[in-house]
Amino acid sequence: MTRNDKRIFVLLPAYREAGVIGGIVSEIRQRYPHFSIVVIDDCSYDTTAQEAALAGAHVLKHCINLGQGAAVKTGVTFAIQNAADIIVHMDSDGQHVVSEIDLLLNPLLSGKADIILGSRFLANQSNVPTLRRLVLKAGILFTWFFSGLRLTDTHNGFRASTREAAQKIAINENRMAHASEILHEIVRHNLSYVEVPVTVLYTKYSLLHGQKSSNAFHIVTRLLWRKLFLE
Amino acid sequence: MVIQVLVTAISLFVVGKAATAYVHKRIRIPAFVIWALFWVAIIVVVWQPNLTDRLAALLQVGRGADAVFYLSLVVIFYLLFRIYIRFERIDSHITTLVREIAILNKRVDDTKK
Ligand SMILES: Nc1nc2c(ncn2[C@@H]2O[C@H](COP(=O)(O)OP(=O)(O)OP(=O)(O)O)[C@@H](O)[C@H]2O)c(=O)[nH]1
Ligand SMILES: [Mg+2]
Repeated sequence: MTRNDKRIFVLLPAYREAGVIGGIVSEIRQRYPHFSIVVIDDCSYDTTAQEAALAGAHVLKHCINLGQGAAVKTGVTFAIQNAADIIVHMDSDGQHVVSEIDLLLNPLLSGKADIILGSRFLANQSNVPTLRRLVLKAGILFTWFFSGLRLTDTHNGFRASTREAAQKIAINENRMAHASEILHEIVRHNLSYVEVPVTVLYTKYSLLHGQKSSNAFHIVTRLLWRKLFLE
Repeated sequence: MVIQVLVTAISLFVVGKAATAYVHKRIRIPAFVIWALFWVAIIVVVWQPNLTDRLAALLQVGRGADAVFYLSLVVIFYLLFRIYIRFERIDSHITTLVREIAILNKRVDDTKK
C-alpha cells in the first residue's frame, strides 16, 4: 500500500498557538497535499482557530478548555468518523518538524507496527534543556516501572497509528497525563509499536509557552489516582 | 453554657434548613433523616458530653472528645473521597459534552458551506 491510497489525518491539538499554527498547517498542506489536517482549538482566546481555518485545516472547537488529551480524543473521533486509515498526532507549537511525518509514516505503511512513537533521545538531534531532560528520563523510568514499556522517550506528542489501534486506545485523561495513558493502552491491548528518532525543537517560543517541569508531579498523581480509584 | 446554647442554635438552624429543603423536594427523606440525626446527636453531645465516654470505651480510646474527633475525621475523609469521585464524574460528563459539541458544530459548519 502506498500512502496515496490511504486516508491520512494529522491531528494538531492547539491552545493559544496564534502566530505559529497557520505556518504549520500551510507547511503540512504544501508537503502532503492530500492529508486531512485537523486542528482542535481548545478554547484559545487568541486567533488560533481563525488562523488554522484560513490556512486550510479542519477546525474543531472546544467551548471549554479541556486539555491536550481531550483535544486529541476529539480529533481521533473526528478522524475515525471520516474514515481515516492513519492518524498522526503532532504538536502545534512548532516543536515537531513537519517533514519528519515521513519518519512515522514509513514504518507504519510497511506494516512494521500498529503505532509508531517519535523519540527525541534515539538520535541526539534535540537540544533538550537539562531540567527537562532529567524529568523526561525520570518519566522513562516511571513508564518502565508502571507499564512495563522500555522506551527511550516519553510524553512525546509526535506519533502515528493505524485506525484500528486508534480505536482501541482509550484516552480518559484530559490533560498531559494522556501521553502516559496511551502507553498503558499499548500494553493493555498488546499493540505492536516501534520508536523512531525525531527532532524536538526547543525554541524561545516553546520554552516560554510550554509546560513547567513541575507539571510532572501533577501527571504522576493523576496516573496513580486513576489507577487506584477510577478504573 | 454559652457554647452549648450557640451550638444548639446553629444545629437547630441547620435542621430547619434541611426540613425546608425536604419540603421543597430538593432532598429526599433518607438524606433529611441522616442529616437531622447527625445534628441532633451534636446537640445531645454538647449538653451531655459524658455520653461520649461510652463511645470512647467502645473504641478503646482515652477520652470521649478524642473518640468524637477520630470518628469525625473518618467521616470527613470519606465524604471528601465521595465528593472527589463525584467531581471526577461531572468532569468527564462535561468533557463528553464539549467534545460532542465540537464535532457537531463542525458538521453544521460543513453543511452550511
Ligand atoms: N487542545 C489543547 N492543546 C494544548 C493544551 N495545552 C497545550 N496544548 C498543545 O499541546 C501541544 C504540546 O503542549 P506544550 O505545552 O508545548 O507541551 P510539551 O510540548 O509537552 O512541553 P514543552 O516541552 O514545554 O513545550 C501544543 O501543540 C499545545 O498547543 C490545552 O489545554 N488544550
Ligand atoms: Mg511544546
